[in-house]
Amino acid sequence: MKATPAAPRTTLPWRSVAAGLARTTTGVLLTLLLASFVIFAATYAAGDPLVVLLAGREPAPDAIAALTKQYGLDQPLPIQYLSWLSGVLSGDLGFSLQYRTSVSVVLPARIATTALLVACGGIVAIVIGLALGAVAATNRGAAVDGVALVTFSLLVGIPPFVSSAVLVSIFAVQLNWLPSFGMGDGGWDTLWHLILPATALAGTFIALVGRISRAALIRERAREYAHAAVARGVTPSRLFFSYYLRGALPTLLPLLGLLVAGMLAASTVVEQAFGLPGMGTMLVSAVSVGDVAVVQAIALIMITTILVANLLAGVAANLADPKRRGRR
Amino acid sequence: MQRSTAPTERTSSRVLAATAAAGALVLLSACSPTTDTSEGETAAESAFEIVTDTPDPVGDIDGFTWSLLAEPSSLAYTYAYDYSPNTVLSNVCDTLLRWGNDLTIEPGLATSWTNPTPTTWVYQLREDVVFHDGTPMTADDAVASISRHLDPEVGSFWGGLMSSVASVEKTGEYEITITTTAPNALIHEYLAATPGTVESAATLEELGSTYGTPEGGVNCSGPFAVGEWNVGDSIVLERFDDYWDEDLRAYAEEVTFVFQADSASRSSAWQTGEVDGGWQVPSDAIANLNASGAGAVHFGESTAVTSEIVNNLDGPLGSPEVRQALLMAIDREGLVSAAEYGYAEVVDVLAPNSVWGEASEDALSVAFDDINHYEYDPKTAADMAETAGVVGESIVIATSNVSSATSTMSQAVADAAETIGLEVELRTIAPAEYAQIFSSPENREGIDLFFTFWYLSAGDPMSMYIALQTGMFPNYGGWSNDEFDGLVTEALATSDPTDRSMISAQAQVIVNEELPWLPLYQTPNSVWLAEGITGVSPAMNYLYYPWAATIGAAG
Repeated sequence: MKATPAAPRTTLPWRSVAAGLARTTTGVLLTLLLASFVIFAATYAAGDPLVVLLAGREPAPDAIAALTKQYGLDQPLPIQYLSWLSGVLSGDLGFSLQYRTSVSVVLPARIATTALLVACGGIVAIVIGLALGAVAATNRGAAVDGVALVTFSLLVGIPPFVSSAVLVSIFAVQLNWLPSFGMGDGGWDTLWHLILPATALAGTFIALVGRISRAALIRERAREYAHAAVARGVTPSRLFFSYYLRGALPTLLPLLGLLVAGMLAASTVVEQAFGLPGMGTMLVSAVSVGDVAVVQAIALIMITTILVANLLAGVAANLADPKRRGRR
Repeated sequence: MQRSTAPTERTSSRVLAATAAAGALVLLSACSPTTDTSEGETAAESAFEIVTDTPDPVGDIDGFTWSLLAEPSSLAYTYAYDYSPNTVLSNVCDTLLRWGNDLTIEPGLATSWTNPTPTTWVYQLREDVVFHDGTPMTADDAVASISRHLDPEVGSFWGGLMSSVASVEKTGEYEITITTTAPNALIHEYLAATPGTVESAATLEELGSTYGTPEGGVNCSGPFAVGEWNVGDSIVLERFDDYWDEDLRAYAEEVTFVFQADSASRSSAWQTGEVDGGWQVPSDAIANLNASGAGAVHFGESTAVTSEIVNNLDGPLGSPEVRQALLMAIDREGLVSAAEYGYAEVVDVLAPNSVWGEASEDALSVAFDDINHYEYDPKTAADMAETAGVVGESIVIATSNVSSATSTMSQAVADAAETIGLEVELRTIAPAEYAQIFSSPENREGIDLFFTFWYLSAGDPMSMYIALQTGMFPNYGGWSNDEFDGLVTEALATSDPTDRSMISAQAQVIVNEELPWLPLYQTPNSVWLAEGITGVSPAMNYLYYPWAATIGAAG
């Protein structure tokens, strides 16, 4: 009996991996530094913080002078930037003009909400997308494949604010099955409250994962090792997980970076629609009133998250790709 | 006076439905728009009634949940200048005077007052008031609280309105004296709103910059104390059992405010019963809400008028005749139907009926009968513009997508301007940038007209007209009229509100003739109450009156 040829087992060239990781990390840090300046300069140029502090009311000259000095607004841009950057590096994200307290006080709970929403949305997108992609790939050319492709096309075309409204209308208002608003009381109640938002958030990404996984799985099913495994009578579940899916991982893993980026952006809309107290809701509010420090902090956190997610997804994809590793 | 920097929610909010509550309700007026809506809704479907109360509660409740349009940025009364913070704070902090359900002044923490000289107001304070931490209120607390509006380092949003206060002094254990730099009767009126808030002086001192934040909180004397502020999620108020006013002991043990910026989200949560109530019901949701059977929308008096502010008096709109022509060319009845689904009334004045509660009959006659009524007449309007020689001239109308109503409104005004022969540039501005239009002349340079949802924080017409006196900050277009200025000065020096009303009426006639702002329509104040709760007055005094204490179990 021959040994199974398929499952590509390889060893890791750790030095090469570490050097690559170091290079990529350096690039990420430089990108972050540049992004931090762009964010600061853009928000600095966007408007006068005094407008927020005085809420557009009649400003007395002495009030303007006092507030300008109090918040360091009389300093030149580079000084304000360096002061802000050193604060960020030491964990001080600045002072919220809107909330009149440290951003570090008002932001953590928002980050947790958005992280949970994106995580739930990501799980829904990956599980459903992968399942649909697998069914479509397995039945390529059949009616079920056509249904899956049409479903993907429909989901791609439905923006989150529409899917949110439709889901609320059907499952909350009409059927009264699921809550339409808020985060619940923690634990299972919170997960219960996140079912509709996570589904609304996942819609477009189900299509993305489904389409790409379908294509990747079709490709893997056509490979020589796959035919050999089928001929040897490998069980269908093992075929899928140990052969097709494993072979498709280098294609699928980079999607995680895209998912994180896309869902963070879409979460702004979904949080608004479902009244979730996340970063997106806070960002919209901060932008609308010109709360510079909050906008800067959230933009920086989002960019950092996206860069790190893409970095990790890239590393994982490389590790999973036999072409980039030495075969045994 | 006050304006909205977030007109989105304000517009869609005060619209509301027809459900006349039980016979106990006092009917003040009935409005039945007669124009069909753009959706083909009939006039009968759009009718609404303004009431002063909802039926009395039959007993206590554990608590209720309430929608806020946004999370308050602060609960410090000095920064409470918008709907959300005041909706909460009105139940937590008492003011020297109260704004009653009929929008007139009532005693609050002050039991009585005198006005011994035109610039001096003396207030006798209650002696049985304790703050939420159990410490008693004295004149020192009142002095410290009101004086904060005058401190430049605090930067109170009410600082401009209170700028004519020269001093606040303790003149007895339970007596304070406020002195103004010039006669200003409105200062007294504003003490029924946020400027009259009394906080513990010791708390102000102790908390410093954290006062009013989620970390520091507040310590006032209202019927509810702040229990929890879950940042980004909710504010929970707990009943204060040592509240001094037995008539306003809260029926509810707890009130939970949740933050719902999205109007569709609010409507859904009300229909599903996840949230029990909220102010400012979106006009486009009223029909569905009332049909849902989950509760009812009620309408009350409002002080808000939607207007277009004339910013450039050196351009084509510099002539009163052209401004009159433009107003006559706007189909305001149609606008009410299209933008507010019929839940509004066309008005020709900036100080609506609701703020004339203490006016004499004669004053009311002058203020509302001796004015121009600008009926829709595009033909005459076009002739007037041609006579004025402005045909072919250009104007810029600023708009912003802050609510479904604003784009409809701005387009209607632009269409009217074109009807009378003006060239129009409709300039769309981002909401954040639009709010800055109000802050300085530089930010509104090049703009001829911009909309506002202006509401008044006192039940006195002069609280509107003082804004239009020469040189005042909210007189954005720099309009000036000597006779009008003289009337405002005279009114401010007249402490009796009834006497003052005749002067205000004369000022209203001038503004109605000159049109420095073009009044479009007035929307009623609105509130959604779920089945099972009742008791609150739907009037706009909720911003400064402990309304949540009045909500209890429905029969």
